[in-house]
Amino acid sequence: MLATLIVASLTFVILDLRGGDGPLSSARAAVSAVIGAIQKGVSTVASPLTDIGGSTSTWRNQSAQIAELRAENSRLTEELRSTLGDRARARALDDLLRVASVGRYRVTPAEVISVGPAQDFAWTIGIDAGSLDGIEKDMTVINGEGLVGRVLKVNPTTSTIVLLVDVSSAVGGRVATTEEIGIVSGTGRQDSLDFQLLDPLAELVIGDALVTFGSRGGRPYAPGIPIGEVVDITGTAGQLARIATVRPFVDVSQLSVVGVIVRSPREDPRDSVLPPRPSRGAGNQGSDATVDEVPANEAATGDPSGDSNQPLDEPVDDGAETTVNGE
Amino acid sequence: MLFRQIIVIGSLLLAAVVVQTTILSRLGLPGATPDLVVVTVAAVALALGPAPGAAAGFLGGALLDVATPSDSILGLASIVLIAVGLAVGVAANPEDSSVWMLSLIAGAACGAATLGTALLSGILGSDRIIWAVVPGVTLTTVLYGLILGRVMIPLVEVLSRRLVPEAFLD
Repeated sequence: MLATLIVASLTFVILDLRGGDGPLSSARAAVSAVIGAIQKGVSTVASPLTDIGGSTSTWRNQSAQIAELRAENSRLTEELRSTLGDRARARALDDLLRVASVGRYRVTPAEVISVGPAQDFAWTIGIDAGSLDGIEKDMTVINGEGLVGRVLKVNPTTSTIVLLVDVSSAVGGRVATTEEIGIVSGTGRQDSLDFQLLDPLAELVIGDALVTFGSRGGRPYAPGIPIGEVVDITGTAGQLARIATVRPFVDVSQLSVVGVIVRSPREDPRDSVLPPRPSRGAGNQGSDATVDEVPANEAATGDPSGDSNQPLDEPVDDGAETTVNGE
Repeated sequence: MLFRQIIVIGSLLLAAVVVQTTILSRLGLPGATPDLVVVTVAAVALALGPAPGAAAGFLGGALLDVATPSDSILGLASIVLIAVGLAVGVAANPEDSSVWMLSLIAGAACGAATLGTALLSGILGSDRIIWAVVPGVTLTTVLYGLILGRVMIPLVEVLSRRLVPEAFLD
């Protein structure tokens, strides 16, 4: 029996390494879909657990209460916890909607239901939206802070997302307010990305923000999505291997609500989606980031470089911004 | 009897995979994710012996590789976990050891599984492994495995005695 099992595993490995669409990949997708459905259910039930880490201490306190109070206490605690959870979720969704509306991305919101184990060194998450919700492979995934990653695999009701910090991730990035482009690749560590400029002579300073350059047809990456800011630069201008370390705007260990971009904007939103510049770093939490901060940001990032490429044909419903271009 | 055993072990492992991917990996604990699937495989091996342990390893590994957020090579986890189930079943003697001793074995199994997976995927050409982080991850996975083992080993023991008493007749 043991030999059979080992041979079966080895066969899986060989078939999987060979790639292509065989009976194995369809079987894998089918089983994956079933497990995904279960994960979805459990994740919903367990969301108070995963939302708030400190719940264990609350439980310990309750156990000291007398029986009568305990019931009421636990009910109230449960209510409060779910309210807190709901509020955090609503805030995350608000931020996502703000980014989506400023950048004119059409997004399908989804919740994170599962996370890959850290010992696999793969930065992947599962979300509760799939092909039935219009999700397709290689779509861009964002949240209220910026770029999260791209869709790797799609099941009917769940999908796997590979995060931008994963080693297999490479994103075309542009330095905000300039035309300098380069490649942002994941390092496998959650707080750093490598950024290599295509032009080694290009000027780059610590604190520069990066946005996605955008791929043809918006896949895998739609344009104008904030990626992160430069925190360190090795090598001097002109040196061939000039690599900057970039801290992503998105905290990949704290993902809850994400949005999958199902349609890219017709116009590149340029730098308009970036968080306000003075509060960079601290402002990333975005707790108070509201829509009225955005025009100020556009003015700040647009002026210095004479960046005239602001979206020109914006819909009329967007009063303040269109007047700038109307002259 | 065999059929019932497969159902019991299968549902245990499915539950372990789901709990590990949806709850344990999202707690944001430092270092590794608590390896509930490895601990469950080790617990099955301790309760029922090396052959069911290896079978549980195969099934648990296959489920882990197929479950949604995984992007690993299919079959890799199975190979590692077959080895874990086999080794724990052969090496450990549940009658003579205290439950903490057995939990330590489960913890060691988690460490071995983490190292084994890293080595094998490194050999197969995965560029994801950050070797500088591997020792820390291995240490934490041993610790979490020890704690999970203290809960899972007695649980699986009781479950298997209750649900598949035939296996304990001899």
